[in-house]
Amino acid sequence: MRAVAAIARVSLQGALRSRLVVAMLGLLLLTVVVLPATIRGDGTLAGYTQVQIRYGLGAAGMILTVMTLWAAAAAVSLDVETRRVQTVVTKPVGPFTLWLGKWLGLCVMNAVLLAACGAVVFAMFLWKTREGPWDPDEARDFREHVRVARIPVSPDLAHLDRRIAEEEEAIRRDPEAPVDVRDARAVREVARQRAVARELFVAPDSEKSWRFEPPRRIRTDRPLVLRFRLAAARMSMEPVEGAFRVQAGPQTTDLIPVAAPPNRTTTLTLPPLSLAPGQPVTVTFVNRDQPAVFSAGEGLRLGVYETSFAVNYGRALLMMYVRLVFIAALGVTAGALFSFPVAAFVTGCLVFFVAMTAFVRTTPDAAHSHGGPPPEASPWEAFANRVAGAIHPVFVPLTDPDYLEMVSTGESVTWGLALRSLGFKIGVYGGLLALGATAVLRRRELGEARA
Amino acid sequence: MTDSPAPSASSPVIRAEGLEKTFRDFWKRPKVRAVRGIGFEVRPGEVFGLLGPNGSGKSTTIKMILGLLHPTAGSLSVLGQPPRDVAVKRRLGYLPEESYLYPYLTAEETLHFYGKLFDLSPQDRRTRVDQLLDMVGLTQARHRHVGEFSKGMARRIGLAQALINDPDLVILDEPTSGLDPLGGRQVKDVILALARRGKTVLVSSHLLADMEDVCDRIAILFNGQIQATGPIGSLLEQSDQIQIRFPRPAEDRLAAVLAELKRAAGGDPEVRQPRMNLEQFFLDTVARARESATEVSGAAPDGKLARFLEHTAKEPE
Repeated sequence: MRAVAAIARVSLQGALRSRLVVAMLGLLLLTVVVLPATIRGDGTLAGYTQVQIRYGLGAAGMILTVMTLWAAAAAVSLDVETRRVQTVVTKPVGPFTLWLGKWLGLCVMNAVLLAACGAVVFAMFLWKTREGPWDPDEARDFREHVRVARIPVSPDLAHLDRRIAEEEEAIRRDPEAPVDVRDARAVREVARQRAVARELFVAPDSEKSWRFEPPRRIRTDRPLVLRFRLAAARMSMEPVEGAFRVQAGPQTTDLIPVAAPPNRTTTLTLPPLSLAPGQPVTVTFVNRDQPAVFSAGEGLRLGVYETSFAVNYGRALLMMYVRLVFIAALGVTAGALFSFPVAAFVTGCLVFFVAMTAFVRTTPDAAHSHGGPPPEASPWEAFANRVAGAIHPVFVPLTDPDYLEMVSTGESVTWGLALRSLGFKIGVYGGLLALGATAVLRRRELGEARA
Repeated sequence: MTDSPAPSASSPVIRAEGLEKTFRDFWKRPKVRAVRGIGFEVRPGEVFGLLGPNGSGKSTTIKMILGLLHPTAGSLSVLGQPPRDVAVKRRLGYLPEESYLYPYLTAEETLHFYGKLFDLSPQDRRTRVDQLLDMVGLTQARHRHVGEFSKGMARRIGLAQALINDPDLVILDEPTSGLDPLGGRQVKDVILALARRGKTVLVSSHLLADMEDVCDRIAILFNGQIQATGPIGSLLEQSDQIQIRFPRPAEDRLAAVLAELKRAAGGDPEVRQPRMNLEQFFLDTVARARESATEVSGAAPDGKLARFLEHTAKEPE
């Protein structure tokens, strides 16, 4: 371990003495302080939170990503090119020790820079959202809806399986089916979307109920919130009038009237209910107006208090950090394989592929969603789709939800999410990268600089 | 430091047989045959020199011994093990042909860094670093960054890092290159001191005078092949001639002696006025100048061999 620590320390000393860390710290602090001031928000506390955390911290994250990519690609490759590695590997230093030392140096550097950025953003957030200058109602809503960490619970749709099967059958029989009926996955997805849409549709002057199952470990002393979003009817943008009723065991709330504009998320704080752990909650919508359909996905969600904003913010920083140290592992490994510019390019491409993974897979689906049969794919498109489909499972575990968006809207970045990210990016993929780099360094001739 | 089995007194520290190295281009086509089937042995406790002009294959051979390059053919063992064995590296010290050190570290940090790679305890490290800095005359420059060093100072710190682990086998690639005569003399003294204490030294150079001063045996490489090898004394000996030195006699006496020698040996004897070796003259001059100087900048060339190298040195196993 002494050798690993020594290599990590030398990497850090290099970064410090080349003034990389100081320059980056200055740039990052400038970004998180100045950038939010240049963005015109909507003047609300929630809007400010979005600007400060999502854009300010997000921009800092992008700068850190570029810096990490650059520094990681240089870590081993420049040592090889300048032949400094020759005085290291002729000591009792195995390839894994070298890789680990270089990687840990970058981990420490990122920890320092990200902690500094995170602390400044958090301090600015606390100062700006302090009690006093804001309208008391807005401040109360902000405390309940944004400055918290709530776990979103979607309605239990397990009973839809039969309906999905029926929809699948209907799609296969339909000569105008919007998907290629030979593609079972696509048929299943469209059938699921249709079944969910039917489930979330409420006819005029009728009511519909949905069952929610909150997590077993929740804080029962904090009120639940209901977040919903109605899809716009084709002909009308008028608010939909109706009322919600919530039931948990023998307790039932009064009807809570709402007039919700379409395509806009509305958040309701529900009256206090004493929830027992594991107790389901039933939400009923009484529609007194035009036909209403809740948006699929995030159209109807119960928000259950999980923890404080500060803890949630810390977990988002942890996810950001895990992402950076994964990029560091990728860069150090690429540097063991290639010369510096090639390593930087390869690392950049892989980071880009990971970021684009979700987009690559949703594009073909989105193309079919406008109705009618899908256009015939060209051979190139078919090949590209096949390649995208093949690499998709490799990159998917590396993709993250938009955790900065989650924090800035009061949604919980759960420990499960953070630990999953940690496990995949460091435990699984980091380990594989370390093994790959070790094998390469063991075989590679380090006695000559590679041009 | 006996992680790998030590060779017996008779077994060589380095054994190369039919060693070849061919560098290839990107398409794996042979580009340069740097080493062509060489074989040699380095025995415990000897100073072995690899001599040759630039491009003769000295550095390539050394890098194969260090595991930095893979032989294309042939076999190679170092301290009885394959060269890339990590345990071998615990007993090995290496000074590369250029000082490939981290320029942003100070001299002291550099030695501590390499000491940590050998897992030396902090106390051992401090002691060795102090003694080595003193030995190479860089105590005054211990807090200066290596990147600011002159070539000679960088060679000195390079030599110090090669000895931080008190190695059993020291490999020095062009150790006196870039050093002034004082530094060169000092490096040669270190090599001789190491050899006296049973260490094995493999040294490569094209500076023939330096090699003559320190090597027990040499191998001369040219075009990747060994052209001559053996003990330096027997290689340089001219057995059909002798040299006699004595105080200058009077001219008539000298003429009489020469006439007698001519009669006895049957040829014309050559008479020369002996001259002092330029290196020795330079060293004496600088020594006199230093006695009258109060302060010097750069490397101080009067360091003694690091004490830990004296105390812990072992007899050849």
